[in-house]
Amino acid sequence: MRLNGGAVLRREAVRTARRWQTYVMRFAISGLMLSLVLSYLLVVHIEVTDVATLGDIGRGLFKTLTTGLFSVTLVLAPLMVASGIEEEQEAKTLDLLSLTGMSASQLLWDKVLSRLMVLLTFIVGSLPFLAAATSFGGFSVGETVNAIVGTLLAALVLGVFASFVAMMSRGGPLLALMLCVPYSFVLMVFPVLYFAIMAGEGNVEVALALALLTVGDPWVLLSVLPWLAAMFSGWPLAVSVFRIATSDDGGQGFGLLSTEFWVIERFKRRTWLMGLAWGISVVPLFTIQVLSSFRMPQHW
Amino acid sequence: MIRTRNLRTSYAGMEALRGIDLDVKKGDVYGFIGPNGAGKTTTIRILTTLLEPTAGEAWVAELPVWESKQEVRGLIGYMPDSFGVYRDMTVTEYMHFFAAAYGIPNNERVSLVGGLLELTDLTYKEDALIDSLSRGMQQRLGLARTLVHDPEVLILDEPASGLDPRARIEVRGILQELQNMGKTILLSSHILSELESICNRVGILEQGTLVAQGSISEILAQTKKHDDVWIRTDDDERAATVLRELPDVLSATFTDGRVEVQAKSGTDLSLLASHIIKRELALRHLERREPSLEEMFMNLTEGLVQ
Ligand SMILES: Nc1ncnc2c1ncn2[C@@H]1O[C@H](COP(=O)(O)OP(=O)(O)OP(=O)(O)O)[C@@H](O)[C@H]1O
Ligand SMILES: [Mg+2]
Repeated sequence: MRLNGGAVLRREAVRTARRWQTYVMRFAISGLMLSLVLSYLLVVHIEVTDVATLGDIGRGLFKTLTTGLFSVTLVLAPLMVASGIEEEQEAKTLDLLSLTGMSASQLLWDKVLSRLMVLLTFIVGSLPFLAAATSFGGFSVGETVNAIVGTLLAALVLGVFASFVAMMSRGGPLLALMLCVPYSFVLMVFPVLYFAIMAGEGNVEVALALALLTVGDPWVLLSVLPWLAAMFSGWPLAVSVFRIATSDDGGQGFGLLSTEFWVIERFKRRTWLMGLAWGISVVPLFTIQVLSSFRMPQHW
Repeated sequence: MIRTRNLRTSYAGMEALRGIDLDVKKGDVYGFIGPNGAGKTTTIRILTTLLEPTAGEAWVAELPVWESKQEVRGLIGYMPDSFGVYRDMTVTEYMHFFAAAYGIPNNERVSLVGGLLELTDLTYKEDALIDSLSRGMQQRLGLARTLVHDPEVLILDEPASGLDPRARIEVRGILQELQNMGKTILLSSHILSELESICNRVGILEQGTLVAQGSISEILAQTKKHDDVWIRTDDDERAATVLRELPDVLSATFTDGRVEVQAKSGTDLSLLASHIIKRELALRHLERREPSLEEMFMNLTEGLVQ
């Protein structure tokens, strides 16, 4: 390893922070999350009769948000990484970088990580919505972490894949996307299958959420990718999302509600969880925002 | 310092280089001249390890280029024909980035970058975004970048293209300074007047073939078919007729208020002068015209077409 590792990563961090597009994207992703929350609440009418139904709403929101986040990541990760490489090819700086003795893999890793860092800020930016959902209950912090980690892993895998596609070809971003699309059509089979099974078993709520996410919008079509991962259960990256969206027994909102005591406990606990989730999400978000609005140090 | 033997490259069957034998010595400022599409960039990309030749060999500092890529990369500073820009970086950031990429330790970078920006006269622009720099400044920044790892050999593809005369003179000044620092420089151009004043050796490339190589005066001697002499007298029209009487004079024509004489190479000019005076013409001006690089270039490439 030479001393030059990470130079590209650091440079990308500075440049990303300087681009207004970064902030527009963050805003758009937050907007998307908000609209997911709203459409979930509109589509799935659940009359709030007791705390348990609150838990149902929370769990539904959680599924919608994590699946939405995951879908966005699946599209954005390869696109962003590939366009990062493309940009380097276009500016003819790839040659210059390879002459520095930096290895191609080092460059690729830096590029992938730098773009994924941007994605991470998007994900972090959507945490407040998850935190808001926490206040309904119905899912655990562990599941949240699981979903976020799964999303990041998926982004990493797809990012690496896209970076190789982009290195090997001209028109990288487009190609990366093109490769994903036929893939996703094939995988449409699985959501349809799941939809049928879910609705048949009376889980209309899950089936509806799936329909919402897979029908109509070509971008959202890409969200079916996790189902492939789910098929190979050895694959860690999307299994968590798969489990969250298909199993209904993992949440804490059900078994715990048998006595008044538990209800009170749950309320207390929920408040605490909500605070924690907000803290977790807001602190890094705030830090990133503050950091990126200043000029990063030049002498890295 | 740079040597190639029978270097050949084809792009999809089209021969871009047809056997090039370059010789650049240590300390040379070597001008690589050729019209558009001659193969300058192709040769340069081979020398900078970015392109594998179809056949033939290339050495930089006695290292075979393709076999010892990493070593060669450390020895050369390369400036591509289109400057690699990151639009949203400042001048200092750009320099620091490449310094970091070359693995130069953190504590050395500040003074290194400062020095290079001073050399290229960009200190006053150190915090400007690259996007906001003029073409000339960007070119100078590109030069500064090629120097980050203190390479022995600089390979510059069209360093003066797109620059106005003032910016060109500035770039030339920097190149001269680099030559004084002992760097070997190979630069390509199709602006010949550019190279005349700075290169001690040139190679002329035409359709993938090196048609001439050597110092400018050597090439001139090789290509010169005759001496050009300009003469002015009190009666140029008669002078032209008079001069044609001499056996050494190949032609003498009266144009633009002077007589343009083509004499056999090595003709003694006093012979022309005395002949004019003998015929009672008043000699006002007599000058041997050294052909410019441009004329030489036209001569050479003309020869190819015939
Ligand atoms: N990547 C490529 N694919 C196919 N042909 C190419 C490629 N690069 C160059 N050529 C061809 O090879 C020949 C030499 O090109 P090259 O770029 O080396 O010329 P040049 O002397 O640098 O010209 P210019 O003065 O325009 O920069 C040209 O005919 C060009 O069309
Ligand atoms: Mg060229």
